[in-house]
Amino acid sequence: MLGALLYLRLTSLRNRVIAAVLRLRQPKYVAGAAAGAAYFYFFFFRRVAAPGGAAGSLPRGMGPMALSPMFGAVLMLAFMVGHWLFAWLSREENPGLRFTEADICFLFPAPMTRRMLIQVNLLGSQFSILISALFLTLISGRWGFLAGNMVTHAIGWWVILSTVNLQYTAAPLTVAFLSTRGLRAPLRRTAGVAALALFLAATAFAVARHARPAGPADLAGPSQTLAYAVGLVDVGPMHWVLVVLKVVFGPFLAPDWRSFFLALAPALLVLAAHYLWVVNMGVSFEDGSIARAQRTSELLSARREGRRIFGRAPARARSEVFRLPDGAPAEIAFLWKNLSSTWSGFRLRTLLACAGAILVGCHWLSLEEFGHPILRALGWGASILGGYTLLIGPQYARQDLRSDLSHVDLLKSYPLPGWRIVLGELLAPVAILGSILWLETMIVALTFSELHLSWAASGVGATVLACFALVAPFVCAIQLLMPNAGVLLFPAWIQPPQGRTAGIDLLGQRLIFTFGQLLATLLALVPAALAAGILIFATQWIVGMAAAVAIATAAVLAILAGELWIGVWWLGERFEKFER
Amino acid sequence: MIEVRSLAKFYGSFAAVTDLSFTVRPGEVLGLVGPNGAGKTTTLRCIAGIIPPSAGTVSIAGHDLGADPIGAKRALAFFPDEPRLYEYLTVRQHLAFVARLYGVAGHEAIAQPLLEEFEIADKAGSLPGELSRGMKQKLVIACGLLHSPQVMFFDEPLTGLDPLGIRRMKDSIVRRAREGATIVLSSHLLHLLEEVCTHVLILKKGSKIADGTLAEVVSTFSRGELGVSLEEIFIRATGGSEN
Repeated sequence: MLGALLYLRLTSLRNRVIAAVLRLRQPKYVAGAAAGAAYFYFFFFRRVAAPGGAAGSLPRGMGPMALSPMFGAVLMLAFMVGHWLFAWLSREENPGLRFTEADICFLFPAPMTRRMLIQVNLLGSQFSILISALFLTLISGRWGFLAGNMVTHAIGWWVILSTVNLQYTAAPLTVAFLSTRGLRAPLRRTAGVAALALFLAATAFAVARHARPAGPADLAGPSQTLAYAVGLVDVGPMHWVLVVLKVVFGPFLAPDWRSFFLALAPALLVLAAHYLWVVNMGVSFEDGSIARAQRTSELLSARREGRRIFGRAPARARSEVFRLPDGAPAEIAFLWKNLSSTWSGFRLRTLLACAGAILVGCHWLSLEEFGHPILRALGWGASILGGYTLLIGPQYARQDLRSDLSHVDLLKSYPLPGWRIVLGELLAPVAILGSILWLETMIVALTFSELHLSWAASGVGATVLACFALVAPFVCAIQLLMPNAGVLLFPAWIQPPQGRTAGIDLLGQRLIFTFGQLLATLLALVPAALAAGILIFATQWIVGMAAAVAIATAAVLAILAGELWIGVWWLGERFEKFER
Repeated sequence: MIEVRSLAKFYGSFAAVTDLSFTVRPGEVLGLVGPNGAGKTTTLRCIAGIIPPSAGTVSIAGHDLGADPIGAKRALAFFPDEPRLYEYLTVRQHLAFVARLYGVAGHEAIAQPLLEEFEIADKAGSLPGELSRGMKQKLVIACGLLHSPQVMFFDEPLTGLDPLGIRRMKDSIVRRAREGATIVLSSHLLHLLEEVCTHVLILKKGSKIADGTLAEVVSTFSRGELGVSLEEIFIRATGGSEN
């Protein structure tokens, strides 16, 4: 059986590499691969390979003592608690193990016991664990504060990742095991929350009992503060949990070979105990694994088609975003359809509630002394988020042609000109991004007085914000034209053939595309920016700055609307000629 | 030989299959029919050892599936309705992988005739991404037949096949039954039952409505009328709805 699995993994890996190399015969993949490789080099490997490497980015004074096994153990505990909570609080009685649909087709009916299937699952994950361990060794090898050598680090990472993987496998199996013994979801969730609360309360009690106030030595530097903070929680029931986890980090942090071997033995014992726990659970996971594989497959195909970036398909029918009136224009029907497929919380009442909360919250904070720095932070935060929403929002709000690419034949059968379909498809992401931008603008408007901006005095700031709120949806729409043009002009870049979702060439293609999109948007904004600048300069002497901004905004809106119309019309023409 | 006794499968309080018993002997082809959600695929998955039943026993070629799953699974092959293949294994490598799974020695001598029978020999070096759905289906079937199973389970075997592929698939099923294989297939296509199956089992909401030879089932629901079509028999047996 091991031979079959090794054959599967190694042959797949070899074929994958060959396929990637053969793809490079096409210029679009060469360009993508070059851009992807450049990205990895400049943003990752160059920093790692540079003298001092990543160590230079760490706070000064961060010594090996600060990165003690205890600190690593706390991090690992946080990850595992998070994962266990996710499995524990889920409604599922049998979450299942991670198998592909091909695994289920070939391995589940094969002459294998349940225990062998678990071993196959664990063995299969060893490939990604080994690659991850090598990758992390490359990074941690440049940490100047870390003792040991590349081999001890690699084995250390392997021990850590393998233990985490066994925990990852154990969580759904334990949930299924308890479910078969009567601890079903409602009781399990209540008991889980109660047990966690009890554990945290006991830890808090122990911390309060044993805590000593921080002295000057504890606050002398980041490493000392970190060591003090981590030491605080290493008491009471938490101590016993951390003892085991510290053992797992031992080999990675060993300073020399002797310490490494001394640390490796107990770490391997913990690993072996985890392994025995997982393979001897003897619980059925097949039903859950089949359902999980189907969900994963659906999610992957949705991502390949650009329908969803995160999350699952809605399991149940949801309330309508708004009531679609009889005889509504087709564009509104597209808006209604595409908004219905987005996050279930995206409703008018949610937006109004958010707006109300912002209004009340900001007003309350402005009345309190402590609230002013918070308002300032909120104002700057909302400004930065607004910038991000404008720049990268169109990459994530994909409820347009990108999500409908798989239905293009159906769309083309509708008795509508292409431009109306394109316009209808654009409305949902514009509505989503526009709403988010308006909320962010609202926060900025309500915190304006705290930001002490000289140019924003005497009503100009309010006018600028109001004008920005008007212009922002148009800018979003212009930005959205680019990825939708990409769907029609370069469909293979938007929806890769043969269902691939990852690869250095695909990463590079996306980088090229994003860069092209930003460049095209900037070019589209140049005429509007020039007109605004000229108008403000020419009229502010006569009508004042606030009115000049308003006049310029009207011109900007007219220019953007014109560009948008040309873009939509042109995309409509392309859509009518589009063939998959 | 397949012997199923009091098979049941529950998902929480939902009964997908209840108290199902039947026997299929070597050379027989049992057609599992029923409306959507009747429990056909769940039944097939349970008796193929893919998912554990909640109750009951299944014996495959004399091996109890619960007590001796490896012996039972060595004797069976399951053909799903949707062909799921490994993205980076070629057609020939799929067969080599399955040969290792089932311990088939000298598999190439067995694989080549299968590739030719299913007309995918010229695609032996292709990855699944280069195959049509019908070809993928044929590859899954060739993989399943590689270890010469005595018992075969087909879930909607004709889905995605062209007319010639359908003809060959029917011939293949009949030929293997004549050679002594025990076959269970589920399908919505009633003409497939007429042409291929020796026995029929009608399921509805997880329970057996009727079973027996095609003639026995027809006579049960024809109410003495002559020339009643199988479609009419199916509608009468299932009440004409899923519920």
